[in-house]
Amino acid sequence: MMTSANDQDLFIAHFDQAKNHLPGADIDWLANLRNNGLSLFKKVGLPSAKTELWKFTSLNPLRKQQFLAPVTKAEKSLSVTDLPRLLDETKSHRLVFVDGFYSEELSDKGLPKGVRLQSFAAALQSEPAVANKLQQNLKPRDLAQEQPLVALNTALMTDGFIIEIAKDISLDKAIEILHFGSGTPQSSYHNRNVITVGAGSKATILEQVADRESHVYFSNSVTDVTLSENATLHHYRIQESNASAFHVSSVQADVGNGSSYDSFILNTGGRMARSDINVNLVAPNSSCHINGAYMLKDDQHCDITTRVDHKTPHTSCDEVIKGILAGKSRGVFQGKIIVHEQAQKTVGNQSHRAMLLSDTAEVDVKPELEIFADDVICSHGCTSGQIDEDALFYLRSRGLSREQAQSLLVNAFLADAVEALQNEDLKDLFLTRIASWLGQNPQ
Amino acid sequence: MLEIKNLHAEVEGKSILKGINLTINKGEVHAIMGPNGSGKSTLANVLAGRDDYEVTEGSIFFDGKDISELEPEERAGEGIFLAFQYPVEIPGVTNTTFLKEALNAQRKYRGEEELDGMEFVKMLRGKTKELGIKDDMLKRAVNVGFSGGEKKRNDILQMAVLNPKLAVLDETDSGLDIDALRIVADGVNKLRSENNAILVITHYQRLLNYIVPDQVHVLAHGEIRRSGGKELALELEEKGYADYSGEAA
Repeated sequence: MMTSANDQDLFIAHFDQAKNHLPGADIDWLANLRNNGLSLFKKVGLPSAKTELWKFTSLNPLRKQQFLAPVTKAEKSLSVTDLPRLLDETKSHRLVFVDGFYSEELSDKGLPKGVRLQSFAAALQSEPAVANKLQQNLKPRDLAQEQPLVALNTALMTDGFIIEIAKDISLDKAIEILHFGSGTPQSSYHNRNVITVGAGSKATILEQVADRESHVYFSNSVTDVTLSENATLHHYRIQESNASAFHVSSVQADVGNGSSYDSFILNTGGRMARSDINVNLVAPNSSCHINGAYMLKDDQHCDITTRVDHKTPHTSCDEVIKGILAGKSRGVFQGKIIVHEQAQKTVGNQSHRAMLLSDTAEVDVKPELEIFADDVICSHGCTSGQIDEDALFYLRSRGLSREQAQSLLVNAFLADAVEALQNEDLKDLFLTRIASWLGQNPQ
Repeated sequence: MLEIKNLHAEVEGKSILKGINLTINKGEVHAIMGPNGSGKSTLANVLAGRDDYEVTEGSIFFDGKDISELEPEERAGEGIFLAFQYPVEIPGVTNTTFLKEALNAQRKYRGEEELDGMEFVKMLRGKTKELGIKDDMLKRAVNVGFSGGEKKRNDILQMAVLNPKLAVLDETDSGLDIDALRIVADGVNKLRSENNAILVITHYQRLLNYIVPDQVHVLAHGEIRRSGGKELALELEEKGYADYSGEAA
């Protein structure tokens, strides 16, 4: 294994190459923020097996790559017909990012009432008031040694989406965001996204990660979410990039009084995909759902790491994650629930269930409950197992082929997680994705 | 219809069936009775083609065709149905979906045209009405949260929809109270015809009060020790299996 000094060199060199053309180079607070991020990253380096939060997810395949430094704009031009789309124009307003950069021409025109959208780069280049407001919405992450990739993102953040939803707005269309890899090999980018939802508002943000062809690239995104009072955000993500891509993402959501952060992640793509989801329930009656499903094959690796902090009384969280693993794939789930001392009447439930379709697939789980209050209801459960042979025989004895029977059982296993989705179109869409994955992967 | 000759089978290397001979003709109802561990359930599973049950000798002919190497779904397509001692719960799959997929898979196997949604639902409604099964059972996930009696009725419904040539009822009476037993037996009797056959496997005689067999066979130590008419069941009820407890001479 290479030493950690070597690990860092590539990305430190990226910073040196990019620093003069990164957006907002003349903004002092930003320069400080970037420098802080960089010095922390220099100190800690890429996470290794010794980093507690990364002990099941090795970045060695990523270390072997020679990624190129972030550029200032997407190099390839695409037409809208090259792009996949989840929901049609009547149901979503779509924004497009190509190789990490916002593309105004590929995005839908106009914006739903009550929504402000800017690209991260544009926000930094507009008047100081806008840039300074952004400063407030970038969360002061605890850039401790567990989060070196967030630190790296802070040093190199280039573009991303800034979505602001005014108060008392109920969006009838989803905001769909496509993150598209155009096929530029060895590209790397660090998106910084900000979502703020005003008091009493409701919105659905749907992110899709996809690409045109098989190529190696590295995307390291950070998303800061703030929900004001009585707001609801449905944040659904589908990661279906090619099997050579590396994706690391970190979402931090602060959920206000009476608000709900409802998240779902469907992961089928990538060589390696790590999703950190951190939710702070900072005010009474705030709640979150962290649901998801992943389907892996060959040597794919998917890691979902969650942390929910119950910081005040009367908060609740519910997590249901399901995984299907074929081939030599590996799934990781780490889920931490922390109930702080003052957080009485907390309800927290967490479950992760995995089904292994081969003898060579592996799943590692680490559920953790840290409870400092005494009047709480918390549960967690993790199971992993093979497909149920009795059920398989039962179905086959009624005439279904082995493949049909397996597909029916796997579908049923995952559908349970998808059923929780509140949006019928997306429920259908995700169920279709599951069925087509099963169709392409006879177990 | 079914012709079993000198059938030997083992499970995990352990010999369980040691030379079964049994012939069942169209329109007949046969009962196999025997003490625990005699090989009754093994016979049922071997007929249905379960993977872990290995036929080591002998043959199973069904409608003149050797089926001993066929997969379970192929046997189902040929017309063999196994009603399980413990029907399996399948969360997330509704009864209707399951029945439709199963029936169409069998029709496809036989080279028949698959039924579309409308045709299927119409046929299904007819069957539930005939068996007195409530429609809400169709919307529920297969056997999930069903009582023991409901699970067995669900198996009977599957049998009615799939309309097999040979139904094997593997201890279908276990775990049923007398009312449930009667309902299940009524269902089976409704499906009896001169074109199909039924093999009832049971430990107790009581089920045979409701499903009256043409022939009764006593299975012990992996062999059929005695065959006779329905009065044999009554004799077993009275005397128990003590006469059959020893190894064959």
